[in-house]
Amino acid sequence: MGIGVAAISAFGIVAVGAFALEEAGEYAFEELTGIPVIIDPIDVLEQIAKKGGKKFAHEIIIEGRKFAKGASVQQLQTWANNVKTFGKKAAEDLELGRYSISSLKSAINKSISFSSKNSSGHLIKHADVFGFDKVAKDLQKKIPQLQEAATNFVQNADEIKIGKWDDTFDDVTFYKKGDSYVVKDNKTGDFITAGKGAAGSKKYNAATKVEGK
Amino acid sequence: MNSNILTCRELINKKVVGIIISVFPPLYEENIENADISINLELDNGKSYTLTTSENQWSCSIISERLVSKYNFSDFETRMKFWMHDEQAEFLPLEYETYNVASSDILGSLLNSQIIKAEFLNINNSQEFNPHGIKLYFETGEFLISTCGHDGNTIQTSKFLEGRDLINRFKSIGKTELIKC
Repeated sequence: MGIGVAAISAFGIVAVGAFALEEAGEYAFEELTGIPVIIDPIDVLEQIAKKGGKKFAHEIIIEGRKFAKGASVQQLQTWANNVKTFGKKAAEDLELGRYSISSLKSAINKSISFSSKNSSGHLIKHADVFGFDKVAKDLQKKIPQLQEAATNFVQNADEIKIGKWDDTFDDVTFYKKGDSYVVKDNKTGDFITAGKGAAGSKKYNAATKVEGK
Repeated sequence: MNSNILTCRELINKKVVGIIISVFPPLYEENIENADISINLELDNGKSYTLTTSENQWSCSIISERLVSKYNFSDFETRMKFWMHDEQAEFLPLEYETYNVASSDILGSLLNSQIIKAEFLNINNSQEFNPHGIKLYFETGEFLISTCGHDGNTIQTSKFLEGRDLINRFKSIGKTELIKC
């Protein structure tokens, strides 16, 4: 763990545009997060910077530095996963000018939350998406299980897209598994809703697929 | 032909003789506009139709069904405030609630009024006809829009949940056109 913390500290002070990651740090990252360093977040950040998003890359590093203090493995894992998942897309989109930097930053920094005050109603309403009987009367007592199932759904999504829900939201993230999907508000990280039959949704079809997912 | 078109045509020139609102409790929602609200219209030919949104959270759906109301619409506002704000709300089972609308209610102006025209809300940037809502016009000049909402369906008249531009809320996806059914 000592090497890991050192690596994360180093990670935080890396200068924008100079993302060389030392071998020891790379090893420590893998050790700390359990994430194989196939596509390293550092590489992704470097790619973003090269494509003109230096400020964006810098802001993401600053965000990552916050986790170094508490050394929360779970937060770091989420952050690193999001950098890898959305970062490659960010680099492309920055080049093409498709999405705003603030929206992509939110997608990376805001992991989906199923614990906001109004989330339980949406979880119960769409319990069948997460493998529960949605007419069951006792779903109020199963909120922790629903939250866990929803988290698993997102973590095992076979397709991720960034798009729009309606004009009351900024960008949202769609996590699709099979033909069902979960929607996250990129601005707050809040779970918005879930649906079945993604192929029939113009909102889903109009969204842009995140590379590699 | 889309089955919704055929069903939609059954509404034209019929008088609405009964209305039931179906709503999923908006547990701790900040805004009632985020609630999943559908409307069931009983017509003077004895048939009833629910205007709602499919599970894909986009496609509008017109379902021939007869609903039974559990509450009076005069209780609607009080019950919605309970679900949105009361600390005890989270301990109660959540299931769709049905409200019977009387002529004195805010939606009562649709009662005993004839539907003279119906239009689908459809995004015009694709060849696919996959409407996300429907707008009904009444002989009294009143209108009813039923379309996909924050989570499920939402409805609007000139007096109920008014002030939203439901027709143009998907500008980022494409321009909405109104297609006569």
